[in-house]
Amino acid sequence: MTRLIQANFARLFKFRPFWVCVILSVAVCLVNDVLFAVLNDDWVYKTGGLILNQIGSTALFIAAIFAPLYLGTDYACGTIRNKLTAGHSRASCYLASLIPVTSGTLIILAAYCVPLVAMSLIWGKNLGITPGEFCMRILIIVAAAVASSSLFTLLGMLIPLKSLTTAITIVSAFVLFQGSFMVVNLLNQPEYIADYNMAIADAAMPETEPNPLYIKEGALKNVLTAVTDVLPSGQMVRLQDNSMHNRELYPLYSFGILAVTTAAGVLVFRRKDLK
Amino acid sequence: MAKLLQSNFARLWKSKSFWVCAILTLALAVLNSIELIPDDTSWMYATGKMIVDGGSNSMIFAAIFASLFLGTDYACGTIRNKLAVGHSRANVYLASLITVTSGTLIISAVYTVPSIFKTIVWGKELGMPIGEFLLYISILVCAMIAMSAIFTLLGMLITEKSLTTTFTIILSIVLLLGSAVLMEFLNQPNEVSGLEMTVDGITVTDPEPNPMYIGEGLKRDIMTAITDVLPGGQIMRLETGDLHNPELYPLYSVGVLAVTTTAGMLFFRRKDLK
Repeated sequence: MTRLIQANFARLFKFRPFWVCVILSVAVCLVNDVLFAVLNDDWVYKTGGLILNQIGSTALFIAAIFAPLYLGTDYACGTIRNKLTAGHSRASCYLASLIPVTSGTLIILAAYCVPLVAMSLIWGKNLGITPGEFCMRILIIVAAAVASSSLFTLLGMLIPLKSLTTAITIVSAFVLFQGSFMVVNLLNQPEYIADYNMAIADAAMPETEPNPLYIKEGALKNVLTAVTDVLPSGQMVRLQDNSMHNRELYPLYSFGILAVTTAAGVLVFRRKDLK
Repeated sequence: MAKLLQSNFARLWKSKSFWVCAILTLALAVLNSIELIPDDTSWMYATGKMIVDGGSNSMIFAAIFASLFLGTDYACGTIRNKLAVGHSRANVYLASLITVTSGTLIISAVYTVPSIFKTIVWGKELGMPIGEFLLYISILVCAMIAMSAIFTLLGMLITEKSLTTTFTIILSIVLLLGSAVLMEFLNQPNEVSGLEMTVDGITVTDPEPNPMYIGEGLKRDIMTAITDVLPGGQIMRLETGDLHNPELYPLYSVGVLAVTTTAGMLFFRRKDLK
């Protein structure tokens, strides 16, 4: 197991797409957050705590590019068969792939933080949130990154075709983030809406009417809330729009996903025909 | 050329990834056509708007199909066989372009099936004049052709299939989301005013200059040109209904097709196929 991890890490640090993704992470942060902050004088990003909101969704999407390319190489070059021939168990191979993918994802996440930390040091020493809150958010992001890595590893270890793994992982990440965004948007709909235009025209208090998009309390709302709370993409969207719901439980949900996907992945990978 | 096209189309009809992308597009179209509010008569659910809105969704699926389809030629070494039997590189490139464009247009057409069904069976309104609808359709078709030309450029110049897949999917997402961000900047008002709640009712506060507003000048012109000329921008403008000289959009798309195809053929001629 130690040798497998050593070999995988050696490959990770020599893997060009990984470094491209790290640079991309820094570049996206510079364009997405730093440029935005420079253009807008009173932009909220100048307070350190709020910078955390953007990290999760963007960096995890970039990690979804690196992971399938890294894992797919094992199948494309036949290395996976060599590892088994050398006497390593399938469970060890799976776990030894999960660890570098998780590390790579966390490095990409950290790379996204570099310009943000520099920006905070230059402009604002005030975190804007309490240190406890800051640490809680960091914990949620790191746990979600670990859970996402386990999902990427599951796909990468079970699909033998590198290009197909790449397409499925990137599209899954995109669909999960967009889907979570849409569901959270629906869940945040108010029960009543007001017609402000009429109120302004009449210079009167707005009249409220029931919002047809509002989801009433019940099974549907509970299921949608559970899905967005448990999935890493949902957690990141909720973190971004500050609509977190029992957030102390988020790291636990993430570790639950890690346990379930890894157990399922190891079980299926054990029986997989590697040809 | 005819033989190349025949063989490419034969491969297209047998391509599992093409059919999977077409089925997924149909599934997404069905999902999107479900009205969240029962019997909604707003323009959002008019079938014409639904058809026009299909560009971004079908573009992502078309990107997946195109990259997997073109990458197979390199992965299986078929591209060298085509040259070995005497076909020119220009013909190989054009035959791939035509097949990918056809596949992309079929995937886009699949997205319209639920809307057409709703119009014919349920008599749902088109929601816009027929002339306007035809203009939007021609813009959408031309933008998808231009996008296919970009996919073909990437697919024919990048040798490794997984890298082609990555670049193509990411490029289509960046083109769509990037255009949406640019349009958000371009649509910022010059001045903003807030609402104030008083005992007498709601009043509007005095307008203040909007720091996000991009004034007239080179920066605004460049941003407008990018969203007008690139297919991603055209598709996003169609979806938001914020069109700017829409009659010129098909011409821009033909321009993108001509430039990318010429550049692609020139590079592909000199490419080392090992």
